[in-house]
Amino acid sequence: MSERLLALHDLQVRYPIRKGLLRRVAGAVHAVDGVSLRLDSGGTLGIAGESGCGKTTLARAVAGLLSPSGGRIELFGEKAPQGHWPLALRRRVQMVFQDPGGSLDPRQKVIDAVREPLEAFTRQPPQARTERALALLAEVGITAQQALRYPHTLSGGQKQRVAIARALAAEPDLIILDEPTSALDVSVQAQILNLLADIHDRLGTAFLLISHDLDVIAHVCERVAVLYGGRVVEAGPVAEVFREPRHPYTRALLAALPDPDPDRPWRPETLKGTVGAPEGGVGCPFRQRCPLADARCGQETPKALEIEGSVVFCHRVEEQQRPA
Amino acid sequence: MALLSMRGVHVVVDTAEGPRTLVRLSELELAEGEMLGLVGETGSGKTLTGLAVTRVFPTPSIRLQGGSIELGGRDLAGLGERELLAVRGREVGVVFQDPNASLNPVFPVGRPLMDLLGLHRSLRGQAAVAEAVRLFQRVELPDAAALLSRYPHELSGGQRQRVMIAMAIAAGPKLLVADEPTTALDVTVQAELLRLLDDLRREAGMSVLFITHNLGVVAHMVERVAIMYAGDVVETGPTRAVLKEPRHPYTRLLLEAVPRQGQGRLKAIAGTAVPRSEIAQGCAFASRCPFAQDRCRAIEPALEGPGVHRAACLRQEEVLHV
Repeated sequence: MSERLLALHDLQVRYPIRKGLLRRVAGAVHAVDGVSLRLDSGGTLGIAGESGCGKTTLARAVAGLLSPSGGRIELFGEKAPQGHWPLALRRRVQMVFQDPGGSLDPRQKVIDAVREPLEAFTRQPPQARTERALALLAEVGITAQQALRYPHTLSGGQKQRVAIARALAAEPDLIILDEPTSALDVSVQAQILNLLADIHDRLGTAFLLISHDLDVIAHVCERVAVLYGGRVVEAGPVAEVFREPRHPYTRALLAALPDPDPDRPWRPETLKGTVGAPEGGVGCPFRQRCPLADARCGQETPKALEIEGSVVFCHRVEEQQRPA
Repeated sequence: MALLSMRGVHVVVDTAEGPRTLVRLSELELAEGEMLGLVGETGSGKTLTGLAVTRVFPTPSIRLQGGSIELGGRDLAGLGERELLAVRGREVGVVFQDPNASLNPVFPVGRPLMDLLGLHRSLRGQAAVAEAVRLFQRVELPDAAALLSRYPHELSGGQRQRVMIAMAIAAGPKLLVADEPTTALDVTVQAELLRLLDDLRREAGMSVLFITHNLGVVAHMVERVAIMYAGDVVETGPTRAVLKEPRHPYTRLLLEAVPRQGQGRLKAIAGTAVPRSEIAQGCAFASRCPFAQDRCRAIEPALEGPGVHRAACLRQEEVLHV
């Protein structure tokens, strides 16, 4: 069961910064800057972080939609190919995007949107494909009547259901979900999260869930990795990381989140400055905003420190752990 | 005394088949210096309710059909377009969700602010610059003087929203309508901005109509809350009472739909919201409500309850004790 499905080794993705009339490359944004993570088959891993932390770039690199600048992506025990993926691999890794409106063709009926991947990945006769598409749509709660409509007649939640059915059509081993419920209302989000839980329980599909919403990650995922400035700052089991966040950034992130229960205290910390484009280089990516940063944080990149099943990248935490 | 009192406010959109009701608000009151949370999901009419105060609707086909909107004793609903110009920005400030859509990318961010100072406070030249710097400092923008000549794309999302707040408070309004001011921002930035809004309210004794879908923010930011569904308030009262002991099934289900760690299946609300215009009679929530009975589909409930905590539900006593 715990076969390794996805492993990232020191993954790097850089975007060039071009300047001047000749658009010469003047530098690079280190969107993903040395991320190492693993996901076992049937597991659920959440990638948490705020705007610009590199979480979407990471998702797109894992899905093969962009090529890494460095490091290695292993899928199903083999190195993921650069550039165009073979059909068999594309079938096993599917993606669901944030904006369900943008990921469906407005001129294609809902049923055709689901028939398309069946056509690409299976050798079923047309009649069987239609039946399978209807069955998949029924599984996600779309009626046969709705299946014959065009996407614009559906609500946001219904469109996202279609996008999920479309991903399931390939019978993938891994679904990458990039902010799947961020565009939805709370009550609709609950329906989609329940649907994802059902799919995971029934089919054992592994999820890589990208979200800025820690509550969503806490609800869906077993493990979480918190990203800041293109690097993992803390990773581990959701229960452990959320109960006892160790990295100053994870702490600030959790403290900033107000709970709907007015009796739970809300004491957001004030962080210095704003998020800049990650430049890479030596040191902790969070040092400019960290209340605990000192000279060492700028001179030395924190190493992975394992504590009770979690990994933390922080000099302060490491110093506390040292025997006095 | 209430600063803002909205009664029977009716907002419609003109369609080929005639006007369709979007908002039909029974009542909404806001005391002086109070911050009220107006909560609802997409299509509940919370934004249109806020916009109805100054009658700036997104398209000309949406208009105010009736009702009274009293601000400091004067009915804004009866004012003409010219008279409203003096209210917009001066008596009522507005902050929208998306600061990118509100700032013109070809002008420096200080320009619209100084235009406002000229229009509402007759400040020009050096006096306008000095006041603009003061306002930028007040909303805690770094390096305020230099920032005036920066363009919107040079600022972060949080900084742009601070610029919008500076503009909204420039004329010293009595009422600030804040429509999802932090929804587009990251949580750490959101926290700082919410604190700023609350400081400004206290300092100026300004009332704030805080429109949001985020129950967590409401729980910690406002003393009183109104929950909207299908164009009307379905429950209102002190925040703690409404969130801890909801009397309306919709409020209750909404709270249960918020995901939390290790909680198992979420209680999703069945179906989708039915627009007000398609409900012939009875309670607007009846088609999705697990408590609904035949009488709920026949009688439209009014906002009622013991004291200040009221709900528009015929079965609220039962909802409370399940």
